[in-house]
Amino acid sequence: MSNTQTYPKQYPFLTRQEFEVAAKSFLEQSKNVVGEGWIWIEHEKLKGFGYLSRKMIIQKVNDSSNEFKNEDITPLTTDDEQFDQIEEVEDPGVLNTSLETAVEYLIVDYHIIYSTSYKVPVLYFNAYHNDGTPLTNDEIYSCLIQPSRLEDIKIAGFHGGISQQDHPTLLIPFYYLHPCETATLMKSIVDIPRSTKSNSDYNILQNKISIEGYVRSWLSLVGNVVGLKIEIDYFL
Amino acid sequence: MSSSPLLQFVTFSSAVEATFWHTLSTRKIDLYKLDDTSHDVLGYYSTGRTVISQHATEASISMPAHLCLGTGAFDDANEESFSRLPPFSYPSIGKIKNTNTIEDFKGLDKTSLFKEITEQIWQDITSGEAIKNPYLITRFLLLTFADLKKYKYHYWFGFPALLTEPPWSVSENGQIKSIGDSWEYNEIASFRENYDLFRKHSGANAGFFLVKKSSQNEFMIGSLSEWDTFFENCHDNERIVGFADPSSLLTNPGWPLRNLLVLLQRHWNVHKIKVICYREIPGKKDISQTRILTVEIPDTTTISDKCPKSVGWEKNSQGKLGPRSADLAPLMDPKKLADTSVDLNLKLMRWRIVPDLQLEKIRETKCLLLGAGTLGCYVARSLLGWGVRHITFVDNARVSFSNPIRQPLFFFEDCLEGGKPKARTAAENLKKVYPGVITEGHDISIPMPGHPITSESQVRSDVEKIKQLVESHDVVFLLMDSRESRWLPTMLGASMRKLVINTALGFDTYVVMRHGVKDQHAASKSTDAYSSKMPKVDHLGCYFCNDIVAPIDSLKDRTLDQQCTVTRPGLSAIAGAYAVELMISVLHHEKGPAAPADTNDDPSSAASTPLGIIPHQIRGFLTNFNNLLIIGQAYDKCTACSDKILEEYKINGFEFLKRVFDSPTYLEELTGLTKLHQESEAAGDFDWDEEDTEL
Repeated sequence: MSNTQTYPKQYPFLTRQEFEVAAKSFLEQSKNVVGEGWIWIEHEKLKGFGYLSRKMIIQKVNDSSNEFKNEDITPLTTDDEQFDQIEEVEDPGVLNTSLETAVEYLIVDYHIIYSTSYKVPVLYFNAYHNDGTPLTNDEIYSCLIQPSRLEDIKIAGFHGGISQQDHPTLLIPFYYLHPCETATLMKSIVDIPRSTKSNSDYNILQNKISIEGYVRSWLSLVGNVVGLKIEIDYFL
Repeated sequence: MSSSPLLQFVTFSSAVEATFWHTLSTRKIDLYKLDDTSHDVLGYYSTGRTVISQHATEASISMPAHLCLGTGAFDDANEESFSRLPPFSYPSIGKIKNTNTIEDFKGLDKTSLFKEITEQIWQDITSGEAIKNPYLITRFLLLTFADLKKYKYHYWFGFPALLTEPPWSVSENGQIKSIGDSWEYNEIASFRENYDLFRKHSGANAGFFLVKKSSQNEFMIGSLSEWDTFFENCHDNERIVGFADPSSLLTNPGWPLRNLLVLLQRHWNVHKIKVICYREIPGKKDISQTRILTVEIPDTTTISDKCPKSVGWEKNSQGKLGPRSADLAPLMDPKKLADTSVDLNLKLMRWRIVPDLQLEKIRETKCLLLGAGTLGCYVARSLLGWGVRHITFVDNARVSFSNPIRQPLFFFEDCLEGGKPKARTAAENLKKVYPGVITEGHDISIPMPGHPITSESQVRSDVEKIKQLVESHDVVFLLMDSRESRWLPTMLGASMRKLVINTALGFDTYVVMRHGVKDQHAASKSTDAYSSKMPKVDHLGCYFCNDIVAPIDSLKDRTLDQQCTVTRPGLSAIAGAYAVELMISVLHHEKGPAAPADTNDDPSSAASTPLGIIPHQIRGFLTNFNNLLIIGQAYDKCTACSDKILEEYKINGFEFLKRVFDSPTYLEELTGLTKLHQESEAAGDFDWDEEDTEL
């Protein structure tokens, strides 16, 4: 953990510059403490418009009891039956079992991007099959958001919920957790109940979250909702 | 030696990210155009690992040996693009051949393309280039055809592995041990630390390395190009090579080892060597899944100068050697994207607020909108909002200059040259709002009681068409501007037991109601939410049940201001929205159109649907911003829905209708209303108030 700590000028909001500091501090924490494969991706043209990115491979959940199971799930990867096969020479050195047949793996992209309008970080995510075909809405829910976590969405105060819009940099559709409640959430975790304060210090936040600690605190609250756990190591 | 089991390698399995297909598409359109020469692509892989499950019930996951293509795949292969690869990954250079047509793709000489890459690898090995840059031995081939109209991508990967004759086997009876079973704890730690240092300065080439034990029992790491000096004082069996191993299987190393062994054999005449299959848990400083084995081939084996044979086409999901195809339409086709977003938006309502919401039922509900004016437009928009996909308009008018400001499906251009037909234009514009909607417009006049027929054949075909439309839809919305045009669809709806939603406007008042359908399975006791203040009604009335006059020509003596519907402009949006919400609530009742009416508006008591109560009629008054919920019993002398009328229609069909249209008094005579009028006039003790025509 960094020794020098600065505080956002307008907590719970971050300026873009503060966001970049927050993101890069988080990146350092992720490297030094557990290192989970986060990287900072600079915008191709605009300096200061970069974002944090992380890739994860998860196993596809095929829960038959899931209510979303039978809706609209059509396989998007198919074999091209219309093509001739190719003959290869006999190869004793190849292992002839396919991992694919047993379990399906999904690639999940998580991006942390600054929202100019809400002045907070926003968690974008998307999940793909091995060939890049996207998951359906239902699969997103059943694979990333396990039923037990649906309650978390409410607890974490995501009244805006999960929506889809174009990724601000990549310009392709991404899911994201709507940031309309993020500031309230970040404020609520540092607020001391009114009753325990005297009138004189009513306007003073007793505890603040530093810019350097902002992303990990925020992510520890919201990441879990969409399958992104923040290890306790980040806080040690 | 001959008994040593064969060494079997885990193939790469391709993992293409959606962003790769996006980039390929834009490059095809903006850059390559019809040029189908090959280009370099930059892929990457990480070391394999097994995720040990935290829960006893779940199986551990062995990560597949992915070779990934991502966003940066088309960047030039250099130090900078390597540094943009995900952390803890290793680069692999491929050649992509993207054809212009599916025929070209089928017709590609795949074997010779595969051989080209094989020869490139072989040449890098023989020239020594691969010693300087060992990542070159993981070269791969990617054949693609991008069907940009259908957003479908046909593709086939080849990962050439040079074959050695005879194949390599595993020494020591095939023992493949974990690093923890082979080395001491501090040895592992020093190896890991030294490898981390090595990785930092070797960049792209960190995936292949040399290992030896120093005199201080420490494991040193070197690059392939340092072979001679690094192993100078080592005995043959003290030499170790390492590679970043994408396999996660305990007994099988991954594909990159194959070409590495060929390289070792070719340059240093290696016939037996210890191999470290380096596997890490990214960032956890945990390399306990690393495997160690010794591999060998007979020491008489020689390797010729000729390029060896190679294998490595990726199999498709059927396990056959053939291409795959990926359908990216859900991510790229704007129409599919709209579908997904609409769907997601609606599902949020179910996931978060109303778990019993029947979105599928709503989506499948076919709605017939009679009238494509102010009400028709607003009702259609609200239906879209609920995800209704089938919306049909009927209207006989053309778009006039006064329409667009009040009717949100029309624009100024639609009014030009006499105006476009309203029904068809509404359908066209609705498709512009949401292309996924199934909609059409019919230019039909609805025949009306008391409006004598001029062309019988025309009216006959209009009636037939309307009948078919009512029949083929689930819900009929009555959104016309006259009372008598509602008669025919009311009667048809009643005879076919359809849900009919009726909306009518006054200047600052409105009524939104559903027509009753007799409950054929009525229970003797109702459990629905009734308040004791209201009498129980077992068959709800229709629009005409409350009238004791039959519909006649109400347009005849109107002045101009009466012929247009003069209403407060916000009224139709309000009434149209109520009409749609009423329909949605009715769909959620198990009895559907036959659902009894609720009057209990006490929010604390149980509602009859997940969305709340279902009223019969909502009468609203904008003068004091007030709504009243009203229940009306079906009237046995009703001119539109009484048994008498339905029976007559059933027996006489169009002949009956013809008499209704021709004679203003026929309906009253038939139902007995005439008699009722005579009786009440004879009684003479009260006057009938002329009701507002629209209320």
